[in-house]
Amino acid sequence: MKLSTGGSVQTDIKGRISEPVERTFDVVGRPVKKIDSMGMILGEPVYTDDMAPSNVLIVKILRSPHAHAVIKRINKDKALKVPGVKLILTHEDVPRVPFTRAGQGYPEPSPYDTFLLDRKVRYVGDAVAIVAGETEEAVDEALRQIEVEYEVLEPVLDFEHAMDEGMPVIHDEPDIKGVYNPSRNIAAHYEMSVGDVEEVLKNCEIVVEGTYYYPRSQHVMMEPHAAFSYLDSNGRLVVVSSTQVPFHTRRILSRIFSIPIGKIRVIKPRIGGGFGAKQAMIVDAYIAAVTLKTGLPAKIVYTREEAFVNTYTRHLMRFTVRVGADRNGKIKAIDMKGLSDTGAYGDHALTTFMVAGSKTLPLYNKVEAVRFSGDVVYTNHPSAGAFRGYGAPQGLLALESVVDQLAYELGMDPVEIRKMNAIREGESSPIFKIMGEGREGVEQVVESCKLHECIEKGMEIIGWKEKWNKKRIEGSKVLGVGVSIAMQGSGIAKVDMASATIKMNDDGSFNLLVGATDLGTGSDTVLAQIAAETLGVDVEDIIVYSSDTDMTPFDTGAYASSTTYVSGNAVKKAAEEVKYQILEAAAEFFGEPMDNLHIEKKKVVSKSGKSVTFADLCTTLYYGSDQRQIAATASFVGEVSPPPFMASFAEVAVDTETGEVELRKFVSVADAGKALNPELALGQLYGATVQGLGATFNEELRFDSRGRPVNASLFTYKIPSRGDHYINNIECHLVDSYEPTGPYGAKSIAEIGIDTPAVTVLNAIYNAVGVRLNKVPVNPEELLKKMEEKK
Amino acid sequence: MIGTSFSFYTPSTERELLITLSKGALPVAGMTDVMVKIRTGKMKAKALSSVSRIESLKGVQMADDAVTIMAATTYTELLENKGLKWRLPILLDAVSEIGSTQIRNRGTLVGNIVNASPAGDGLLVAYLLDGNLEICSNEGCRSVDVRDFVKGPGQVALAPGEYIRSVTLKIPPKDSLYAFVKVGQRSAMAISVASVGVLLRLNAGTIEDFRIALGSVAPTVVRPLELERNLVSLKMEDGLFKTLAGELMNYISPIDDIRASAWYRREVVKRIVENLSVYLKGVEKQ
Repeated sequence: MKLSTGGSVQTDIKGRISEPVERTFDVVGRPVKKIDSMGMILGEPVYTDDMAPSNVLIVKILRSPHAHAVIKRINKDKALKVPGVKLILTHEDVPRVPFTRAGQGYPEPSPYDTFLLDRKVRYVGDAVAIVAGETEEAVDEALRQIEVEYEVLEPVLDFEHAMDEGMPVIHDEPDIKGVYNPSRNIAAHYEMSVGDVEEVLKNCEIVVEGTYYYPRSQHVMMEPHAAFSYLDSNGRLVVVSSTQVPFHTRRILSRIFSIPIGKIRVIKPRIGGGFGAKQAMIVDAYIAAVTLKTGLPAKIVYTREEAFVNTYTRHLMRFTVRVGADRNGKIKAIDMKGLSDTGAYGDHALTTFMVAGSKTLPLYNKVEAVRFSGDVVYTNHPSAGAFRGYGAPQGLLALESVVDQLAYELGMDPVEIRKMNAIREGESSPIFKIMGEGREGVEQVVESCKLHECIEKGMEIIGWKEKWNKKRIEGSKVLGVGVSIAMQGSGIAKVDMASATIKMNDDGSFNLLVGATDLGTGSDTVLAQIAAETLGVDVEDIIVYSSDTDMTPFDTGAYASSTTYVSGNAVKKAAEEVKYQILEAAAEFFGEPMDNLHIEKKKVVSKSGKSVTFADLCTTLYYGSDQRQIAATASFVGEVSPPPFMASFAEVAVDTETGEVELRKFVSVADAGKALNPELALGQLYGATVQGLGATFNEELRFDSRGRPVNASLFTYKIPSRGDHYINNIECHLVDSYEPTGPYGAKSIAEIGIDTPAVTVLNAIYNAVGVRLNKVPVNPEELLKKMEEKK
Repeated sequence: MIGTSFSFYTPSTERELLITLSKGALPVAGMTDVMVKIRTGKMKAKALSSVSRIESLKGVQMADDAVTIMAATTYTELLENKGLKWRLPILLDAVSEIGSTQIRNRGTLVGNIVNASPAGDGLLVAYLLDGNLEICSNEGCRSVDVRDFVKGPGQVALAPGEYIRSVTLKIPPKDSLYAFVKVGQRSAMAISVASVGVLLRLNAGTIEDFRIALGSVAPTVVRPLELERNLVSLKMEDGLFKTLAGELMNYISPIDDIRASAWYRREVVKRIVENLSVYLKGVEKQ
């Protein structure tokens, strides 16, 4: 007989447990279908815009045509006369409260440098006025009729000169908070070091250096930002929003409008993707302002162009990395100096910058000295913010390029140098303690790390031994292979908190209420699997309701690869408490000690032979004797943030006539702990890989000399499609692993896949033609020029 | 939201089409470019009249020396036409790389010609195959060479009240070799940075027929007829393509734009032509 909670596992009532690695599961580890997929496939009205009431006011934003300007005068008289227009708000009409749109732990590490509407505009597209009307046509006409007089200021567009003496100051308003040095356009600054980097580098037998750039790219989630708001019958503000952070959104709205948190309800329906672009309060305050002023429902749905320009982009970053080693390739010191462009506002400015180091440097944990430093600057571009990978792709592009340089300088196999220096299971890195997100981190020993297995498996699939160091030519094409390694985290240790409530129903089903925010990843399904596994029922017996600030317990939100690990642990704890209550009630029911009982297939079974189904037990508790509701709420905060690890390999064919790069094969092999739902986990890995390849080959949001975006549409900004040559050449795998602190052994998988594609492809291009590009997207023209120069 | 309103006609006969044209409607086919232009405000129209439901404007007609493609025939229909496979393989090579499946399901060769983009892959093949258009109006029909029809980027000799019935492409001489090479930033859904189409017929090592057309390197597709004629009767020798590539540089005037620099466009055209022998293919037998 197999107990669904594991034969020999002992759990105490508070769910503090020690899990043996060897065990079998009934529900987790299986490719359960996404529980919300059928409605989506059938086109049910599940998204925000589908649900808005029909009498809702349409809200749109008047946007600045200038990158940097002061509004001298706004005249809305003509616009207000447009039939159907209900309300126009300018900076004169809304509360002046500094805040950050970033949805992060409180107090946020991002500066309070944003106002709902301000006298000053800081990028082309910055908000000037909020217009609400009965029809889209009326609102559009009103937008045309608003007269704005600007005093145009010189913009700051080159991030490498944003800190220069005499540059225009982007944030000169006195009431902002938390900006590192506004007069020099520095949003954030960070530096840390372990050991004496200069001294160790001086004594190294070899030091290599390189400078690399990762571009400003965009998430392009299929559903743009959307929200609607209304007052409920008690006058409370209700906001239905496509967001990754409903609880942060509630808190930010409360701050802006000075209304108590208890008077606000934020509901998250199904979400058509976020990738970090919705880890923020982007649109909600605009409609809330309209609803609070008029008492009427209001709705905003961003256009694709707004989704490009008025939400988030990835932070454009430059890193100069120096790596010192001995002649055998043992890395002794790493120095990373960076510069990040946060655009007009400092959303996630410090934290993405720190992650560029904290989620890369521990890979090479055997160094004697390590330093990470640099600045995050303001420019008059759209605000950067959270984006899958959160700084790690930028940092890794530089670090893994320079480690590659080191290998070739030493005449070593790039795989061997990584194997020699990379972190292993049971080891730690001082970086974990020093660098958290916006503050000090948490010391941790890596209890699960199958990185070397990932490298071995990837090598085999790509055929590294047969291909590396062999000149292979096909007509005008030269072939090459490249490698890189990566890590990420699983939530933010001692910051991210999640909670779950489970209550039992009289048919033996359970409601699982979680603050966790499924943004299309399938986390509702994975959390249901964890609850089902723990309670000994089927996934179908778990009814998930997620992310409604009135109905579900608190959760920091879906970001930082946290949901499976942090929210999953909370669900497991809640399920264990419910399970205890069930056994306790059954013990009373049978008149036997609890030790006699166990759970087996939706029943409590006693050694005495008695058994009772969950349905009968709960029905008795509802209507019979000793009446009560079996339910529990549990919370979880990660004491550590166990990193997933990954190795990636690429094979390219570079056309020496055109500079075009063909990706023949891309392989990523990841250690994500135990995959609770292998299909969904691989889906995340493939998705992140494709998104990373988009940035490698095409994606970069570009601006003209006046800061106007030139490719903010899907016609000109190309994301990967089925027609892209590499789309069928990608192979992703997960290796067997088990994280002792994870729910049923799980770590994260959502982000890591996006970290490696760019640097792996650049390393493969170098292997093919000896040209080291220092940025993506790969530009055939630049590559051709560099091949010419090399001749 | 299109931001502008217009009338839309779907005539089912050419006679009805003419009536709508006399009311000032513009004839349109797949509209894959027209709608983008209208949405972005680059084109204004009071009325559009679609040829796509007119039976007499559908299909492909084969003659011994030429193929006539009617105006409403989509790219997908061309790709599915077995007879074109050995008659005009270069056309299918070019068409198969145009846009996406969705665009090929709507887009037409005649529409691509009227669009008159120097980057038009279909237009390039029409240049190469000495395309001839049948243009009709209330006054009757006239025929005009594609090369004379295209006046500049987006500019064509189509008068109000006129529509194109068909384009006739000449089948190249038997046993011609052909090549269609496109350089782009991306394999799907992207406009080419430069493209090269070539037809070559050899007889015992001597050039009997040579044609070359270049896209995206000048205001219109380039077909250097004089240069082509000079090659006829020459022996096919090493270095010939290299010389040709050098001379071709005098015929092109590429520009810098968001997709590539003029330097890069010259450079890839030169390299492709120098190495033409790698790209040339034979026609599969019937």
